[in-house]
Amino acid sequence: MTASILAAGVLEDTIRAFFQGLPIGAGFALVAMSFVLTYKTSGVFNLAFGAQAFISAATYFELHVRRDWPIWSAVLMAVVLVAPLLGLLLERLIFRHVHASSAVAKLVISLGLLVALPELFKLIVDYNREQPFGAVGIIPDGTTVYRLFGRYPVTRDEIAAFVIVVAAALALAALFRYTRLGLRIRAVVQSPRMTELNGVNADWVSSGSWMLSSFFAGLAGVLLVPTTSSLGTVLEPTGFFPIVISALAAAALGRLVSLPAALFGGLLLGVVTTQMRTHVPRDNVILAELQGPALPYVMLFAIIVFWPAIRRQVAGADPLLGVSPPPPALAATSRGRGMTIYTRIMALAFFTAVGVWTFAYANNFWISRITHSVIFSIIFLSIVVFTGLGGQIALCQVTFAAIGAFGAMQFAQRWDISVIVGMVAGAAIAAAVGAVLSIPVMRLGGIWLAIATLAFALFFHDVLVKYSWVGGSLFHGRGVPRPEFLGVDFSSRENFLILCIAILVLVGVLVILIRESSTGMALRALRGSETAAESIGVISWRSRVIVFSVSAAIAAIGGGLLAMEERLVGYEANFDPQTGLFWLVIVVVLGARTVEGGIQAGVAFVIFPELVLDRWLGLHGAWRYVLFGFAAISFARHPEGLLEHGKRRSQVMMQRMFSRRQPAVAAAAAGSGVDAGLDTGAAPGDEP
Amino acid sequence: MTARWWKLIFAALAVLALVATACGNAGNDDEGGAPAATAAPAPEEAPDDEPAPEPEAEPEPEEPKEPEHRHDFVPISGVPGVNDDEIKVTSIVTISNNTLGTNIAAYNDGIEAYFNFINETGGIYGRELVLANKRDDQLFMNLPESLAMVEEDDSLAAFVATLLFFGADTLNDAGVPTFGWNIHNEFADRRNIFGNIAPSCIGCIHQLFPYIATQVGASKAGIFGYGNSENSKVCAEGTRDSIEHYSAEAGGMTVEFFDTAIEFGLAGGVAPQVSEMKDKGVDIIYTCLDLNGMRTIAQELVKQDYRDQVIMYHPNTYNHEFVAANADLFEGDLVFVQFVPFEAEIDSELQRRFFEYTADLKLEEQTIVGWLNAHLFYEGLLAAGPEFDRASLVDALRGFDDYSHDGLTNPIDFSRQIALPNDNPDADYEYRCINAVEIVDGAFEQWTGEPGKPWMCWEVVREDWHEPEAFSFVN
Repeated sequence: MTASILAAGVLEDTIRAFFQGLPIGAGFALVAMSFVLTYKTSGVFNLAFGAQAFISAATYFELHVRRDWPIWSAVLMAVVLVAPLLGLLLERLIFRHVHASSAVAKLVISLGLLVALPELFKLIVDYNREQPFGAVGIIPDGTTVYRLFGRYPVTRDEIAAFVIVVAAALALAALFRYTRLGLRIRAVVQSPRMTELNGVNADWVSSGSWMLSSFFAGLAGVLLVPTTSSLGTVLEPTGFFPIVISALAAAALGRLVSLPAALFGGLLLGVVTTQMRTHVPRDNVILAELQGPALPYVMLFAIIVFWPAIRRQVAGADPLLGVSPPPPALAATSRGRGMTIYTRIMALAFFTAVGVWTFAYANNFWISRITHSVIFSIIFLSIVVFTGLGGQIALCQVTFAAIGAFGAMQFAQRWDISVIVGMVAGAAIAAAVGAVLSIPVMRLGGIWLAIATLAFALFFHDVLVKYSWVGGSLFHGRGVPRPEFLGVDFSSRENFLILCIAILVLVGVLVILIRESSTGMALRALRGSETAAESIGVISWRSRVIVFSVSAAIAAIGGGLLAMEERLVGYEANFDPQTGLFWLVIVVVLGARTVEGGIQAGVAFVIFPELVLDRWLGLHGAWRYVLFGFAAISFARHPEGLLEHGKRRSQVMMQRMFSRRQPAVAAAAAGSGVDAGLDTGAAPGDEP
Repeated sequence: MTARWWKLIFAALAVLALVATACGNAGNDDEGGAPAATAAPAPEEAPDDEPAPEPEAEPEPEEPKEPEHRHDFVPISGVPGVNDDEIKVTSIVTISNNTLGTNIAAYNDGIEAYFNFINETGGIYGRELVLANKRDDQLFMNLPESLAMVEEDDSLAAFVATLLFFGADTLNDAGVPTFGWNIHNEFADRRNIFGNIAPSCIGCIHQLFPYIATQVGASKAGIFGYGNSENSKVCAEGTRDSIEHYSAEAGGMTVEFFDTAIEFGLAGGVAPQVSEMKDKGVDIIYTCLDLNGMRTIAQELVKQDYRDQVIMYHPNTYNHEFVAANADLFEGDLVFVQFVPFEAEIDSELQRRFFEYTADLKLEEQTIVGWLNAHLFYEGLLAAGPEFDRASLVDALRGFDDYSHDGLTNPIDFSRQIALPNDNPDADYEYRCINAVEIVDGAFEQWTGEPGKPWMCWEVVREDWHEPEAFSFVN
């Protein structure tokens, strides 16, 4: 009798949790379907989705709440007009021109847009101080409650979202399966030129696809606001991120191409979430984490790594698809001796002048800024190793940097051991973590590797940092001293800057040695074709593990130094995953293939907003996100980076000037491949 | 959207939890007082076990007596930010990228309102107080902003209201007297930094939580904290431990539901949790959450037809606009406030002046925090004397051993309340006090204390269950 009562209770709880999970799942499904729609119609894994959703939601709020527009007209403007218009602009101005680029290049561009679009929107409409208390949805009286089967409560907002999601899924499925338009959209994605041969205007089909997907992003934005807590009080792009990440898991279930799978995955995720929260005990630390912050990241990571469909997709991809031409030779390798000497003299003069000014005249503020730029140069060299040499995108370098910072802090605080030792230990830990992480994800490549590493970064951020053995104790702060090392006291700003410069030089040399070593050559071979590389004896897994570990260790060293410079671990300011996205953007924009590129990115990251934007132009610091975010568009055309590209251009100009006087020498230079390198470098579709 | 979106989330978590956990205040005496009061500690109104005497009939406000040396002018050189006409200060405030949902920039308004008040009444030492530089933290940029402020060396003091406070050591080590919105642990252990409240005991046992339940007739508690934030978890655990510690005295009160695994943003909702609480008969909910979290829980309570059977205790919801916009969701709930709420009038010259000089402003919590910080700065200057500098200002402030901002806050002993009390019980308040308001028809009504005595206080040294006393800390 007791058992049957218990079973009935469990059954009742299960049914209740099922109905509670459906509305949540509908939100996930809507976002997941939007992801799939974009990917299916454009081939772009659009991480800027959250930015598009934010713009529509914020527009709706601005019009309806602040300017008292009726709901229907605000929706019309925000979702039916603004969202498709944004999609049209993105397609016409950006994605049309990168159609033939790799998925990774498109991913980088979408990262840039993720960074730039909301900032631009906020700067234009002065959005910062909005407080949408009450978070009005698009459904009149949306909080009205109904009871399914007389028992299970559901609001009008939730019913509307569910109905819209299911209707959208059916309509889109019908569009792609049964209509000529759907067929044309799919055809244009695969081959616009072939489609145009059949009399289809590929341009307009492509534009229409983007408008459609952007419409769904906007629709998701306004529908999610009333049902998502984090969007309620402060309508900021951040609020979309948790739900976007959760939805990624649902989209991944359908390999980013199946709308029904995305719908099913979203609903399933919602139901699984509520079932776990209903039935799993909360008094166990691990189980409690799995009910809360960890769940979406664990699911996302697990799906990417273990979901057979994704593994089949990766393994079954056209092997020729991954065969990229070798990246063009660096400009520095093809310039003449005279140019090399001239460049080095100029560089020496520049750094000498900066050094003299820094140590003789600069105040503490500028010494601190310069130290920051040196440290970020070190961190960015980890991206040079992973992306520039390895040809892959990882979105967790920021996490490795944080591990280095926390390592320095923990050793100094807990055991009173030198922070230098702590930093090295942190680097070793980061390298070990990188090695372990590389094992399940090494075969993924491309966007799946990027998403898997993002999931890891978010897991660290939301789950691990709060533990005292990682992020330190709440009660003892995150203070980090500066070191004494080899009998030298580095507590003064000047001495610490010298230490950082010395470490930058060491790390830079290390990166060059790796690039020129057998590992570097193996990486170059692997980025062309893994199969071909293995056929000539390259052990791919070893190279992948090495590149993961080394880049992680470099990032951790930089993170440790940053903590020492600031004398605390400013985790929230320096090491959150979204900061890491911007790191990647700025490095690949400026040049991920060279040590020089990493250093220039470090300088640009720190000095540019302070000196150029603030002091010279008087602009808000947010403009740096807009400028570098949109500059990411250049990645598809100049994967070698803007600075490397500019260097080649100037080199050619110099050569041409020189050739007017010495044609023979110019001819020899041309024969050495300078121009060939330029052409190749400018070719779209070349991965970093 | 900046590339800092994730920091936004983390910051909001940290801030709300810190605000939530800045629990008690205590004290029995008062000092400081209105601008007209002297900086010297006022005579103590020693609390004892007897209830404080009833306030006498409302006296006519007297024109405050000015300290004799207030208008003494002495030429000063070599003191940053001070010339013959002005005493300049800098503020560092999270203006852009603010994710908290409250208008932190109102902090500047509070400072300027107070400076207007002082300047209109003759300034101090023949000079005007000027908020000369308003630096935007832009969310977490306060470290370089602090460094820039120190290097520019054109301000006597810094005023800080930021979501996180990375620049604390920079300002403290440079000897800059720093005043701020104390929601950070960085306000502890730094001699040159002064908050609107003292460093407070995070997660400590507090009779407040079970006491509230006894007052509203509740006996079964549900507790929420965010799983992403150690602060929030510690706060929730402190609430749970407090209830369990005083369970017997509170009529057998129990913790029926405890969840510190919810994620910030609550993308997965709280429907299962609310169902469980409903099944277990929870009748009071304590949280260490932000405005969003409270609203989400309340919405789910309404949805499950359970709202009328439970009271929520809010740690961070003293926001008039937010509560007015969500009146139906929060009716009858209690909200914790760190200062005497705007709804509770006391016989405080400083409070009267506050309302007078902020009449044209939309009042926020940060408005009065800025006002209180500015008042402390002014009082410190008075105590330091006309030949002041940074060091003498700090020395003077550290001499304030019973300072209540003319009754608007729990009295602080700045001479000893420097460290976090968790590790240093000697640094704790003498009394653990709260102010709470009740939400009625989308507005706040004073709930704690009695007319003229809004504070409800427990002696920190007494661990036994005892009734709180109503206090006024006005001189």
